[in-house]
Amino acid sequence: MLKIDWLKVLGLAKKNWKEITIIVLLLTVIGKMHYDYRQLETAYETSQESLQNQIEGLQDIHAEELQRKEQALQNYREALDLLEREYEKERGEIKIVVDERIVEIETIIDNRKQFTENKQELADKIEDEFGFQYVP
Amino acid sequence: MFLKALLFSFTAYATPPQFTILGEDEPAPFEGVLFNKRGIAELLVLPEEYRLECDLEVEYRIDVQATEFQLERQNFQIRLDALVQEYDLRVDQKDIEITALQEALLAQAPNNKWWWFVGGVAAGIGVTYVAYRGFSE
Repeated sequence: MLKIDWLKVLGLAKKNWKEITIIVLLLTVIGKMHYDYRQLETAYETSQESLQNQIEGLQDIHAEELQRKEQALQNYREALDLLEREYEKERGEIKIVVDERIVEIETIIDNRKQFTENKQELADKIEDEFGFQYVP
Repeated sequence: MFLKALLFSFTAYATPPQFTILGEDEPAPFEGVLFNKRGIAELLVLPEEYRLECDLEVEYRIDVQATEFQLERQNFQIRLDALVQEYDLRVDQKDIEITALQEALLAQAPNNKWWWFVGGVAAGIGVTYVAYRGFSE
């Protein structure tokens, strides 16, 4: 069993109190620096965690934005296709209407004998439509 | 449907639009152009056909522009939503960060600050005295 002679230790401490004081103060400063460093490290970790969360959140938001834009573009293309199909369909309908109207006019010309007996009727039509002057 | 098919077959085999040019003293009061029945019928229909096509074209172009505008509007809305989300996220994260840093700061700050103040003053006096003794010897 190690026996410590406290009187000798006290004598040694009294004799070297300056060195002991310097060592104690040095240890205090080192301890304080270490504590401050740990605090700074904690603050840095908090900031880093916050930034990491922000990056992940921004990536999610960006992915959702891209997905929504892609969907909007898809809807736009479908709407354009529909418009194009309706446009072509209506053009075909106009062609049919025009053909029907041509046949109708030809029939009227035949039935009303507008080339022989009722020339004035046809002349009136042409005058109304184009503003040409009829010379019998 | 049957009538339309009949109409198409009829128009397909009808006399094509024809015209001839008449000179003076040919049986006409002045020189000019003579159209057959089909020709004059097509000419008479032409203004109506142009009107219908013009209306259709205008409607189509307006619809296309409206669709493009709708896409543009949607894109702006999506961008706005994303920016609002980003803003909320940043603010939330900053709030969390501030709270965490405040908690760390509060954990570091002593509750009995007056005792620390008195202890600090006493330690300062003691260290100064010891230093004075040390350097004067």
